[in-house]
Amino acid sequence: MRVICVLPESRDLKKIGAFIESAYRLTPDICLRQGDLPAVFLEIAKCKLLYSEKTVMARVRFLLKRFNMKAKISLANDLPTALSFAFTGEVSIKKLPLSVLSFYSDPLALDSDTEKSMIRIEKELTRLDLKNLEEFSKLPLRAITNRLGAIAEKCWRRLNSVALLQSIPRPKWTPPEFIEEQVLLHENETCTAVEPLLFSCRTPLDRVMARVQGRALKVTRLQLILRCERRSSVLNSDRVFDFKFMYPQGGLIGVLPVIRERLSRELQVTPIESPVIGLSARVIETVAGRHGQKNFFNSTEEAREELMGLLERLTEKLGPTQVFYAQTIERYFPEKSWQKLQNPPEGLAVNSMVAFLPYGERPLRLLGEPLPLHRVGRNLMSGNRRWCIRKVHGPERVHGEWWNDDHPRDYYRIQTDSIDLWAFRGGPANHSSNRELFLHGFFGDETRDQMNDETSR
Amino acid sequence: MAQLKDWISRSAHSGSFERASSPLGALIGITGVGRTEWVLNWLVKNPEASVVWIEKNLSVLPTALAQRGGGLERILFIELGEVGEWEWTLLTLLRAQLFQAIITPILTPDEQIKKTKDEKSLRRLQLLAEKAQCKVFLLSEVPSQHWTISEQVQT
Repeated sequence: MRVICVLPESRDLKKIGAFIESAYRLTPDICLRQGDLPAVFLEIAKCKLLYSEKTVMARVRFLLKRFNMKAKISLANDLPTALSFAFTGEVSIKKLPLSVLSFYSDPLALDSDTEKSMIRIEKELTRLDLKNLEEFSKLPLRAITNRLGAIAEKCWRRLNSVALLQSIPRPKWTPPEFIEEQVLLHENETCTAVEPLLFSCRTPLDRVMARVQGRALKVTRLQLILRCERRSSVLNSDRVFDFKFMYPQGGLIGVLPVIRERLSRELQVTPIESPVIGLSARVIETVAGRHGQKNFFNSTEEAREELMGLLERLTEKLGPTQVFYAQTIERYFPEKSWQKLQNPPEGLAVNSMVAFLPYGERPLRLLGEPLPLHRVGRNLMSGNRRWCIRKVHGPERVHGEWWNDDHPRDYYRIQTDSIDLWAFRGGPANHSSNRELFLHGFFGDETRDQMNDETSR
Repeated sequence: MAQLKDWISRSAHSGSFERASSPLGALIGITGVGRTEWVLNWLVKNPEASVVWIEKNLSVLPTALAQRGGGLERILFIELGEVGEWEWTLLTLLRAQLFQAIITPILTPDEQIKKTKDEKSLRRLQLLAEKAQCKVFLLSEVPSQHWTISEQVQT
């Protein structure tokens, strides 16, 4: 067993809870000592294959810095010793003073009665001229039981047995239901524009993201609430910005540009009427997300993360359906033969291969809506455009979906003097003679010059 | 001067697909009836390039690209729609430095170039393309005479 004890200066349990949540990514075996002297214990022996002790200590220090917490950190083989080391600053169990004896009785401060008994025991031991735990552990057990009672005996037994010390029951810490971080702004921090707001947002957002990462999750919906100063002229003092991310976000790098975009856009339309006095970031929806260590030899994961961030920004600006990848599907009508994919396929660049699809060659350009085509002699006309027919290939019969009442279409590739057209005759199959002709695509790109030439002819 | 500009813009090779390479990190104008076909051939010849295809209203048929070996899995499609933001989208994509090529048709070149405030904006695009080592294929009906477009391909 190896235990890291974090003894924070702050007694704010909410803040400590947020720190613990972010430390979940290091080890799931975490417990919290409450009471007058709150402390966090991280059992790291089981994750020694993932992190070295030095690395975990460094990461804990980094997380503390991220949450703006000052704390003493120590490492030992059991909970009471780790707490004693952090409390006294000592590194040898032999030199620990008698004042830490209570930690050996009840390291998690679960029993309030123990504390009073421990004060009495400490006085008694001082009267006997004992100075440290080493001297206490060398006392005969019979004398301790008779003179100091059961609690002192428990401490003595634990001090003389590593197995007992390491088997102290520890209730695991459970995270709160909501992930929310708040920050209050000082009077001199006037926040009414986007940039100062973003600067102030960084702290709560960073903490929220650290907590989300600790739970091995990614954010899909986040709420940012700007608490403005209450004034009689201000109708709504709380401005709520709801961010629904198309691509789950796991870090501040991806989230911040999206927030910048939204704030710039919305504050232009509806400016803030009174100074912002507080900010809060709350996670509404999450999905499972693995956070791996950075691959030193391959940057694919990093590139994918960057791509996700970019897609999120584009989606935020252009709309949720405007940015997509495409995939062919087994449907015969050309407009239905592919579907949009919101997420990029695994691996950015895959060797392109010719897709063998069970139908003839399709045109590169497809019209959004088929246009009626009229035939006048050897000419085809649609609106003000006119093409002279040279050769017609086809038909290729394409059946629709009977359950959608789709009529079959007979497609023709029509060679004209300027461009190849793709047209079809639609309508019920049993009335083939009356079926209308529609232009549906081009095997090339139309140019205005050609169009004008055709029209002028 | 105008004649010289015109000559430079039109002096580009006639869109042969056999050309060894197009410049890296530059704005390349593709004009003519076979401009999409030309870009598709470039895609087929560069199967590992990740590409963005921007259009106002998507008219290119992804099925046709797949049929001809365009490789849909590496093409990100962006449909600008009524929002517009052509210039913002291009700048954002170039700044990300994640793509090897951006294909964007300029439906009415004069209008678009005016929209991009002409020289400064195109120069910004050119510099970013150069920095990102990204080819920006500008598909248009007629060749643009702008000096920032380093190569013109008439198909």
